[in-house]
Amino acid sequence: MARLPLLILIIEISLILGFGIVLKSQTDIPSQTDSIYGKTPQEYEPYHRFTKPYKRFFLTPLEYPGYGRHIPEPARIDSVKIGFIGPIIENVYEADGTPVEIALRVNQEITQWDGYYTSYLAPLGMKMLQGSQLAVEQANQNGGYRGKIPFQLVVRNDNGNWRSSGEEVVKLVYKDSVWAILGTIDGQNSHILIRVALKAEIPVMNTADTDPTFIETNIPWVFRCITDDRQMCYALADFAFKKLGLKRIAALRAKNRYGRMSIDEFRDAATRLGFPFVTELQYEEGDTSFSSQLKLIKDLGVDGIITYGNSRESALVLKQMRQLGMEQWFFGSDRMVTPEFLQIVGKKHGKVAAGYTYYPDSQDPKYLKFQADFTERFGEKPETYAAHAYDGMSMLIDAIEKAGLNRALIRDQLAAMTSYHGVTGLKKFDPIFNNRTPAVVAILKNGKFEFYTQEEIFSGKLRFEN
Amino acid sequence: MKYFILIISQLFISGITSAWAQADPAIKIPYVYTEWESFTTESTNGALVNDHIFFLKADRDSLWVGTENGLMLYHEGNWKSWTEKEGLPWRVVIGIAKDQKTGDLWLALFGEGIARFSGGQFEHFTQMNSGLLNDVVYNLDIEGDNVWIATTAGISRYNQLTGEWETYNERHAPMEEVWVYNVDATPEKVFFAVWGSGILEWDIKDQDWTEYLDPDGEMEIDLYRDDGLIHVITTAASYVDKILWASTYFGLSRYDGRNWRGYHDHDSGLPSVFINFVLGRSGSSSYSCTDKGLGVLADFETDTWVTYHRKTEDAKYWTADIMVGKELIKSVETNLDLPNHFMIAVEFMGTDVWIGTGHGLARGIGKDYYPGLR
Repeated sequence: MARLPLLILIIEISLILGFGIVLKSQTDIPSQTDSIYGKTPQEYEPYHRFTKPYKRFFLTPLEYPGYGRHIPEPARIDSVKIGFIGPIIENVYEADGTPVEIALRVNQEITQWDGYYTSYLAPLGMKMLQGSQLAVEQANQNGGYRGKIPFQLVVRNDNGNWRSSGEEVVKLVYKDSVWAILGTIDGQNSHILIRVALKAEIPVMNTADTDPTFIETNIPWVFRCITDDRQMCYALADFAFKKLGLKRIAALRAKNRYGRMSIDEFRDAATRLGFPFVTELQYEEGDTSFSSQLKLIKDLGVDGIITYGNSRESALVLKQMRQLGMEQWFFGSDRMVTPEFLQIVGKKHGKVAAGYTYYPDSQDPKYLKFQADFTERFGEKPETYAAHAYDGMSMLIDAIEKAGLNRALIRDQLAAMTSYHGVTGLKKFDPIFNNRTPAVVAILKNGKFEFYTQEEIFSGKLRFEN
Repeated sequence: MKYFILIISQLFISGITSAWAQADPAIKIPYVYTEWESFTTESTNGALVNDHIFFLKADRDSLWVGTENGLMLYHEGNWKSWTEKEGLPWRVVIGIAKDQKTGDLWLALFGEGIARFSGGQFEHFTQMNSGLLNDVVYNLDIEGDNVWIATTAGISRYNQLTGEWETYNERHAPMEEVWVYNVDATPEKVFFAVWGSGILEWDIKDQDWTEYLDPDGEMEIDLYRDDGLIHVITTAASYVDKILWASTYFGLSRYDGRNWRGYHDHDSGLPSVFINFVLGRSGSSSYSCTDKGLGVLADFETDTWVTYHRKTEDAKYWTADIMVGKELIKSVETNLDLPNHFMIAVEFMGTDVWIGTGHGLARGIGKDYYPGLR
């Protein structure tokens, strides 16, 4: 009996050690595990005033437990193919679907966009292609894959038509036999792309679709290196409601998936702060007159208008708003931070702010070198679609170099990149492989966008008229 | 010190209770498939043309197999294959339906439309030569004279008698998104799993739609477990005994027409919430193909599960874990030796069950099979 206390002590120590081991194994998880999804401020969390959810998703790293890692590398190849899918062709002959000057356009160094054709997004797609091309060319100048085999960009068009993008991806996977894919811009086609990628088991890097739901699908093959509209909406909502103290905002957005999905987090944030939209009106992509909607909004006595749509429509909404004597704040998405927007709105733009995906005035040597290289190669300065495509393609090339020619292992390497220092800055990825670098706010001053971080806006050093 | 003694006492008691429960002959357990036959390209000396199994369809005592590189037919130990060399219009067969009236086989070709396999000939339907909405097809099924087709741009319906095509997308049906993943046709209703738009139900008698969405409307949470469909990213629907089983990449849902029940991996025997496909065996039992094994809800009333999976990466054989809710009751070794438990397809053939994975397929021998518990 005298040994009983000793026995109990041994058991206790064992239990303590045992619990310690259990706790260690439970906490021994990848560092990018989050406690809150999407860096969502508590006041913007759904239902936070009422209850805690039964289950939270997207907090632990996505896994791929399939068989793909066992597939051996091919014995001999002439090039390491990487797929590109994006809207790069403006016009398609309706009769037979033949693209106009496809070869010329793919290889053309300088592209001038002169209007709306089949794809509204072709100018952005061309920038994305140029950024991708530059990354591949530079990798090949450094010797190619493991210093032996050149990388090859296999380019396919996504003309914004739902009927074609899925097939193009299937061709990339099964006919072109690419190792990974970069694409695309439009939310509809991006979703189609990742659903194909999921079944075919191939990594997809997105550098241009900012739809929050794109990544919220639990697909372990999908990566995004651009800050999304969740982050941009939070930054814009903070600015509009907390900094400026606005309370009555109306929405006038594009009647398409981009307009519907990308404004979502701003709308939710406004509601959760107690300032739901006064109204939410729509316009068709390509519209040029918005006076009927603006007159309705004017009568409602709002103190701000937000739009989500393409650059041109956003600019026309602003211009017509000012013509009606509406001097309220005008908010919008990163798509309106373009030379086209500035050209249309002119100098009488008034109070304008937009969410933006990175800090384009960065003096980071890596960014400056990229700007110089891009300008030399294409004869013009890069913008957001080119810069993010360069980063995304560079990440794919890095992952292929490390993993070898196996799609699942390339996926694993991308999943392991919890951070990446690209030309668009230091990116930090969350457990579902989405770049969660905070967005910046672009504010239009004297005909030029200036970019501010959240810290700068709330530092007290800056004053804004509300 | 007294707290540790208390903990030890409780653990001791709980251990005894657990051991007693396992030994208690009065506890009823579900049927467990312990005897399996496995098939890979290697084990069949190439007779199975591809190991990446996308779909399984039983045809009396034969099995049709859709793979990433061809169509297969298994019958009494023999394999027959159709690849592009044998006239198959496209290599990736992702869905199969058998028209019981005509005997024709309908194939969903991933990226190349659909095909009718009749009299040894393939008839190819694409968006360029027919009314098919899109060539990226995920699944199809037969209802009466109609072939219902799940495409990435919406739903197509082809009437075999009239040759008419109907289209259902965001303009003609209550679907916010149009990426249709799966279809299950029954004599009363046709169900669609629509990626991003939950479950759509087509009532054949009323010729009308009903939609089922996640009531909380948020992608990042499930607000309440049993308030409705777990998530709108749905992957499959299976309607049996007037019970709807719906799989998502966030868990499993069951709907009896009045009440919903949700299942996650932390509160049930599901090995993972990432469910590629679900097939109902009855209103009380369903088989979920997850990325970490097969989750079988064997008895709904008692929340009893059998989870088939490889316990470790090095495990040669799969283990069947019998669970009530999340509590492990008993582990049973099986002879199932497929090298990976990424489950994609499942099908019943009498009392047997077939499973398809990312690397091979297997048949569970249902000798003395019984439903429910015994």
